[in-house]
Amino acid sequence: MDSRQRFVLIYAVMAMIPFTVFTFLNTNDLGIFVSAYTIEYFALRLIMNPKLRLKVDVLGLLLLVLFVYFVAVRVANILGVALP
Amino acid sequence: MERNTLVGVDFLLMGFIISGLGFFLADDVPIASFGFALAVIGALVLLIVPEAVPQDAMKSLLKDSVRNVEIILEESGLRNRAYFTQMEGEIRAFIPLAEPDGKTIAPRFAELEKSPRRFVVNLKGMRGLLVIPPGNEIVKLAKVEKGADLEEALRSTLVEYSDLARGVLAIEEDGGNTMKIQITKPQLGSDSPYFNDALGTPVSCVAGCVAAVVKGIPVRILEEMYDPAFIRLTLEGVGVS
Repeated sequence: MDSRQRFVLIYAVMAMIPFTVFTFLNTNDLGIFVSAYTIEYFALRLIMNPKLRLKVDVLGLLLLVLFVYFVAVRVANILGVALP
Repeated sequence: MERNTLVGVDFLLMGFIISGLGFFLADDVPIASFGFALAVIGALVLLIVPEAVPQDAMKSLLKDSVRNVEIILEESGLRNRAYFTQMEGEIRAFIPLAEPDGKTIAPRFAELEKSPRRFVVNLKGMRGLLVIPPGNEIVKLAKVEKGADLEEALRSTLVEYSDLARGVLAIEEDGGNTMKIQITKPQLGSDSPYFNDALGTPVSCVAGCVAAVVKGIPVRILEEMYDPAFIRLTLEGVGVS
């Protein structure tokens, strides 16, 4: 198994951990799941640094945008501001 | 369509379908998040560069080239430590016939740059063999550049590009003249004694090539300790004050 396959396999295993834990905890907020996947993705990328086809990490960017959105929604909820 | 792309698209589509159905139809967040995770894994499979040549094939090609150099060295009875040097964008290993004097070797390498490319080289009395070390092409393909960070260049070549090791640590001493490198879990060993003595074990040989490019000066292996779990390597640069 080369480093690229190892990266995908480790990420798949890591992604299933928060999924299982949050499901057992009856979490009903998609933002929490997405945030966990995003943090895991960036942590693993930093450690293993696999080579990507594209110069821009599209997946990382997309996950980051979603992460920021969910955090913004949570902050807005705390402040009592309505967000879509 | 290649296998990786097919698997990636499959995961991505399945992920989106499960996620969509879970979120909008079943109104179930865990199902939606499971679909989302599947889609992310699919996107990862799509994004990650597939290996052009299978690892086993690449390692066996490297082993064959090691054996070729081993035959030459065995026939010549050469076991002196080689100097890795960059010449016109290519890495060459100069194996001296006799152990040279450290002080006079640097100006002689300047001569080597100008001299015609031959197998047997005579540099003002310093005779030796000039061979292409295994690792020359790997270093070129991994796009190692002069002046780059040594540890970063070694990691990108040995771990990320060629998968010849699991990890690399490097420290530089004496103003960059001495480089101490630890390579974790080398994936390729060698039972070629002449090659190991002259150019180091295959993974160290590639590390030597990387160091020669990064430093831009001839480099040679001063010490090497090989263990299946790690390699401890000390490299010496020629020409750094």
